[in-house]
Amino acid sequence: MIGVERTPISWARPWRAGPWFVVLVPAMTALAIATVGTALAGDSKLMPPALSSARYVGDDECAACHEDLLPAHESGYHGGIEPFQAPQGQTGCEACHGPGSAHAESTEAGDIVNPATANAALVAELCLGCHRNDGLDGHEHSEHALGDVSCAGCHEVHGSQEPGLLQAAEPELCAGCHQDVRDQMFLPSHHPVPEGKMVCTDCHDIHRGGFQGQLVGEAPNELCFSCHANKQGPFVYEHDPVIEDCSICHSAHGAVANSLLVQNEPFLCLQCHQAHFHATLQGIEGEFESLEGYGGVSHRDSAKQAMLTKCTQCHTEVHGSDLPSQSISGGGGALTR
Amino acid sequence: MRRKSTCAVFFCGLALASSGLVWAGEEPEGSQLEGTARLGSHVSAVQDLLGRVREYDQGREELQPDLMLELFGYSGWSRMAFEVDYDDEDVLQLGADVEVGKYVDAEFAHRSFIHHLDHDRLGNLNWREYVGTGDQGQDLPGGKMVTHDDTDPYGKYSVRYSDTRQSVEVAIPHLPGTTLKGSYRDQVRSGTRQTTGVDHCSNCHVRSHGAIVEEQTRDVGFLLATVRDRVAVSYEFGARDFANKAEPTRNHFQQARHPVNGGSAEEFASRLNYDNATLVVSDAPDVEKRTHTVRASVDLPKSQTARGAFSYSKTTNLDANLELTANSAALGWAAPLNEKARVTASFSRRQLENDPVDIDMKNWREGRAGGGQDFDYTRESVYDRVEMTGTAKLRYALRPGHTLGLEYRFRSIDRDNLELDPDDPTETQTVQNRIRGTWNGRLSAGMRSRAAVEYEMTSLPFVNVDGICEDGIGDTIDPMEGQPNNWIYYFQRERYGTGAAAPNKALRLEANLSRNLGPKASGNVYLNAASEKNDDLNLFDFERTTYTAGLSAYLVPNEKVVFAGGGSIGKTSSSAVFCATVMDG
Amino acid sequence: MGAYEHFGSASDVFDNDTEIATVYLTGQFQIDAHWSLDVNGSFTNSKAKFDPIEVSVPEETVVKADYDFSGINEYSDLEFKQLEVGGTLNKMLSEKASAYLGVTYFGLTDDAPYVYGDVSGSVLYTRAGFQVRL
Repeated sequence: MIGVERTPISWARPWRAGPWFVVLVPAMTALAIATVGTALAGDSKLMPPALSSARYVGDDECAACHEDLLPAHESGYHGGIEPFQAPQGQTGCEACHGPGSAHAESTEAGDIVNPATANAALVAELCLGCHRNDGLDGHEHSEHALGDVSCAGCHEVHGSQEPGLLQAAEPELCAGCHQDVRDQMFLPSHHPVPEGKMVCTDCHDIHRGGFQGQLVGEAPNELCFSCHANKQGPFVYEHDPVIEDCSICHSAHGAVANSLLVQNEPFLCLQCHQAHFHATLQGIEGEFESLEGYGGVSHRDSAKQAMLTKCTQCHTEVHGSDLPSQSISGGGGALTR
Repeated sequence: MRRKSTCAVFFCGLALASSGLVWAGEEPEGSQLEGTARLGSHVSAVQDLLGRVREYDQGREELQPDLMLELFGYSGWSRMAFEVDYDDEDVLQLGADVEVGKYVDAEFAHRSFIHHLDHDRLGNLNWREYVGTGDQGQDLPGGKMVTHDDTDPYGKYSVRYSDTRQSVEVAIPHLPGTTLKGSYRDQVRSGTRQTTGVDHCSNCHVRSHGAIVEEQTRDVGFLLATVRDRVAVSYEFGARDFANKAEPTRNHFQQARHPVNGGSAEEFASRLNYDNATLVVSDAPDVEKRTHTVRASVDLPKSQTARGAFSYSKTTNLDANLELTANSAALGWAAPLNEKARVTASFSRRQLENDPVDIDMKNWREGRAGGGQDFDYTRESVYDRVEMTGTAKLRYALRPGHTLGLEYRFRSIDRDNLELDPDDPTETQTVQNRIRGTWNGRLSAGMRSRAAVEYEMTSLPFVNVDGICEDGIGDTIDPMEGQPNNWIYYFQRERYGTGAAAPNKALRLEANLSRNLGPKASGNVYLNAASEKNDDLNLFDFERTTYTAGLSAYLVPNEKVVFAGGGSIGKTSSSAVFCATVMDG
Repeated sequence: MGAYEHFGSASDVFDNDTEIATVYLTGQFQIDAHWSLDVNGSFTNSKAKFDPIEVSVPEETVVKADYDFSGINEYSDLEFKQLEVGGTLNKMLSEKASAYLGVTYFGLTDDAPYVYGDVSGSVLYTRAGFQVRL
């Protein structure tokens, strides 16, 4: 077709587009009001009821029945906590399990907090009592908290040889739930996670709510720039999607195309740009040579091969540049230099 | 010299730890040291190319040592973990974590590895224009051509990446919960890569160079944090300095002239910013960034928590003297409704401002007939924007082991200098609403499932307005004031189509089912699917569909055999519109 | 029709498809009190391509240009097969010391070479040594 007919454009706002938004806003408002009201008025304690009247009895009382846990605990990080290190002031078993007198008397499992089986929110509340400033502020907003993943789901608090008392080393620990991400790492282009040069938490702040995917940093691009600082800019000549979001062009967990590109060139570029106008021209069949002595063999479709194989052969500086490109008509911003 | 400086923070920490200041109280008795040592060798036999099959491996064909040592231990209050893993001189991993006297925790980590880069052969860049057939049936060549040469045809490109991190955290005596932390990160990228320079407009010639890579990024951080009663407050300062130390690569831009007869040099040169000059290409600027962040959180009654953060950063391109400032603020609140339900709400605002740049261009075809147009302009940055995000989440425990989650997210990006609506240049704001539901359930003993469904609706997502499809003669588009669209054949014509790779509607599904049959067998199956669409474009509907399905299993048939395995399949389809200029020239 | 006439644009909507398939398996065998064997293998087949493009332009419109884009999708096709097969044989020499011998084959076949040429390659990685628990 020539001179494609323009279709009418409907730049509808979402609130104009569907009833769900009309329902959602009042629903969320009502939820917020209900939440505030309930939180202020209701009893929101998560602790087992028996703990309300229990008292602290000390580690020796615990050891009487749980002797098997002591060696790992005492040689581990938590076993050596001193009172000055604990903002709540409590150390030993009961710092995490709560006051143990009721449990010691009844031996009932329900009379003490067991982080291995307890509600994830309760476990987080206990752990954050000491660890809130260890990069954990905002844990309640994290995907893991929302997904009912308890601290004890990843950490072996009684003792582990893995850093951070993890139950297993990264990335195996993470792959236990995120099988889809592990499978992407098999692709030809990937970050060196399978090779052991990176781990998941180099990019993902799994404790805090943040940007999509719980990425580290103030914005997704800032995370990428922490290692790829040569792409950081700000540049004189910009490429809009680089500023917008690296993931428009790159698939961080794995890709078939080189450099983790979502799709190979030129398709990736053709989504937003039109084909180079010289791509419509034909080529001679045979050898040729330029005035400067460069040349080769040309074919009928050689212009297409030159213009529609890999855009970055010429537009090398797609992440931005301070150096003007050669053409005046492109405003110097063709990102070829 | 560098090694001395990169270890400075770590050893300062150790020195501090060893001083009398930090020894307080009665130190418990007892010590233990355990670990693992490996002593061996390794060798690779490489056939054909190494770079893609082992992108991050040296693949040395000479015998290399295989050394590893891990040590863990404690003595009294002091704890230590040490790790070294040596593959060859370019692949090394080191780690140390020393905690002395309860007050000082010093960490050191180093890793280095090779990243092989491909070498583009540019073999597709050979073209001489065909303009017709001669009387004897021979091809008649035209003036246009594409050529290439490679100044480093045997170059094997790779970059050695080295990352060294150190930190020292000091607990302030007599101030329980108060810590000071200093950190230093040193990243060095060194090696060679490929870059090209292209002669534009006259003879289109692409020249490849092997470019030196010598980049260093240094991050210095300082954190002061305290937790008192129910309040946690911290201040963090970060300084990043990126230095491009490589000798710049230079490309000679040939004299612009008619590719065949060598004439019309003035005409060709009048369309270019420069020609017949050797100039630097592909040169990343030195950049510094300074960040100040204050965070606070407080435990409120009824197990509620509130948090807030403010961050200010300034990023400076030292070569071009450009400053990008960012102001970010975030608020969050979380509260349990009761023992079953918990809600969170958060809001953040981020404002970015980047310096505009006055671009001083040569006049278009200065001194030529019909030429002389002024092409100077001011580059207003796409960075300039205000981003706002609001999120509300509800987690509800239906019954023990079954949790329902509901999340709503609002996002707005209002850019100062990016047009999103071809019919209304003032429309620069993207508004996104997303709702997400999740379910985590223990269906039975040993069976656990996760599922999520997400629907996202975006008004004016990121697109390239007027990026594709040129108009024909007589259309109203006016690329150069007063001239029709067909006037200057070599001038970039204006377009009317909007290109896009971002949806305005998206539906995403995730499902995951795990079955644990005791310690000897377990299985997992998952399915992810997404349907994304942008039907607000003026030329076509952008569509992208993705699905991935996988399964894995773990099996212990007897006490001497363990199997684990799995597999996955996936497919992504994405659409675009291909626009080719219809012209005769 | 004079030279350098300009008529507008010809267009076609086209799809890009990426397909991936992966299988992997690991096994640990305790052969007897002293010998154990770890094996692992994976195979990944990945493809990326876009559809042929068809645009229609009246033949009389242009003289020199060629609007047959039907072959351009093949310029950037990608197709890789990756195979990794390996095993490590461990021999316990004492309660704390062991010896190991491992061999891993990595192979990548490039069935649709791009601008980098055929990037197929293989590596046979062998390692041997001793490990001691301290």
